[in-house]
Amino acid sequence: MITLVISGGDSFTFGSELRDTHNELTPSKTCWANLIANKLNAKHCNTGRGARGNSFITRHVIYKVNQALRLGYKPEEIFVQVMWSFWSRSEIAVNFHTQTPFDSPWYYLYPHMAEDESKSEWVMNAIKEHSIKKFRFANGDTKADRFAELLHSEYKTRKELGLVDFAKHHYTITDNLNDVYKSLKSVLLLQNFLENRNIKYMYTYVDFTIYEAFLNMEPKNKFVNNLRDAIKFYGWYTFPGYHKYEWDKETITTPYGFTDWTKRHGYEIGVSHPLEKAHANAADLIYERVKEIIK
Amino acid sequence: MIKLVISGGDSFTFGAELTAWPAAYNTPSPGSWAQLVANKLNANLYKHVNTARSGRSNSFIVRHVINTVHQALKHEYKREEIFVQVMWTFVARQEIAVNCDTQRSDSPWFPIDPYVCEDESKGDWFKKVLKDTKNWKESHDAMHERYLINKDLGLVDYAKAYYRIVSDLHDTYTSLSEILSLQELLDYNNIRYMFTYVNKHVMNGLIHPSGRDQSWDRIYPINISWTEKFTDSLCNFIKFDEWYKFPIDGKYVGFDDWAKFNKYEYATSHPLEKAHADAAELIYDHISNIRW
Repeated sequence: MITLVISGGDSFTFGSELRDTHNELTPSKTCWANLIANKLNAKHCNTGRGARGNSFITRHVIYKVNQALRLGYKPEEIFVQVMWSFWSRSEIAVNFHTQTPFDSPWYYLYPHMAEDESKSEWVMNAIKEHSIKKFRFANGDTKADRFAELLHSEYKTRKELGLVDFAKHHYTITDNLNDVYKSLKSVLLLQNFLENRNIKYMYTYVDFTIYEAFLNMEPKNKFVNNLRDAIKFYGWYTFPGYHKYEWDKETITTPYGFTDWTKRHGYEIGVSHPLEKAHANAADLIYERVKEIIK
Repeated sequence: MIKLVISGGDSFTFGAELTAWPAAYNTPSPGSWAQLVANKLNANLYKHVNTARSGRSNSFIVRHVINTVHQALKHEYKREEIFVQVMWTFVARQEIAVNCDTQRSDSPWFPIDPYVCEDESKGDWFKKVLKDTKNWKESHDAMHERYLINKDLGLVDYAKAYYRIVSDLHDTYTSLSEILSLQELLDYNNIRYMFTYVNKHVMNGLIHPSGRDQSWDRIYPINISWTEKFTDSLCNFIKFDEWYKFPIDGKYVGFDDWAKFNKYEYATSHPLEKAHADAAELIYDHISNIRW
């Protein structure tokens, strides 16, 4: 019988922009991950955090499994559920305090971190759009400009800490291979770790681009393909529906992730995250798979 | 019965500075401990793939061993016919896949360690090596040429930016994560293996940041000290007690410490043939006594 659920993921598992998240410090009780834990009537430990990548997920889930085993939980009482994040996100442990409220000295890396995104087109559009409809941040703030201010202050901090300088070098000399290889490594490490300890688990992903990259990116690289072949993609939960597009005279179809499915079905979305109803219905869908896994 | 031995490691497993080096620079030495153990395991009847390369990291080791295991399983080796042996290297070594040709083997994967920031042929440690030492000129020229290429490619600047901000914790966590990855993959596939390590700095680096090479600290001072829950949790799952440790007076050390303590002959920085041969005897005894 499952008595402890450990969840891993990014903001979509944390429940960013849901009403009960405050200052992005406490995961939401109404996120899909917590709703499934409730259905299982199990204690829930949600390690999901906004903007974090797959190495973060594996690091935190292994840590929590270690803690659980030390506290006397048996492997058969633990269930792990992970919604994998964007492959381009990675992390570095730095030699100073990152001035973030969580997880210092680990800092998350992503391709746009060398830019001041508050001035970017997508942010300007988001502000415009959300000034019109009733807007609310996770912390209750309703002023749309605050979004840009927040991004600007984060950029300033990164610059002062030398992270912008590092990111410029990093993203100048690396490309997709580095990131997708490391993401797949994280996925495989956690898979083998859980399998070897007979801990049951469910994997899914945020959106179709993640799944597609995991399956198809760098198709000729033998090191990437080795990892790919060892990962049990066939057991992953995919949301109903497919993203389709034409590529080289072929139609590519990739199963939906959480966000594709919410957009397809017109669920309400905050600035960039699905809101309560989408999480509740996603939890219903995923729970059906979870029941099969743990029976 | 073992039909395929796969070895992973750095220059100590490659067999750098042994007789076959540098004439056959890209081919692991037939005199390395790894080859000698493989010979003993399968009496030259079958195959040994030595994936080790000089100056490379634990990430490199895992990447290449996984690749070779994968190829072996594809080529119809049975799991029980494969044996993996790894001598883990220094945690400060990392790697990154870059978007240019590194002009070295394994491109576009680029090995990073603190020495990438400087021309190692002019560095402190090499100044102490006497010019009449075996391989001095080859080592000097190779290090100088490598520095010039790296500088041209922007890799020296990248490494400087990296070492300005990265912590010991990152190095340690990355290596532990790699080691656990390989252990879990081999366990999952029921493939037998033996893990050991180059020297005490490797082990200290995995367990505690004091294992870092002090000369690197002088160049890139590290101000952070830590005990870390994430590295602790990885350590908890890594089967260190099953690793082969070389014996010195009741203490346990790595290959390099053992060879130095026993005053085996060295070239610039690597033990020579006799040390490899005797190390192979010890390791083989250990492997023979493992209950599978």
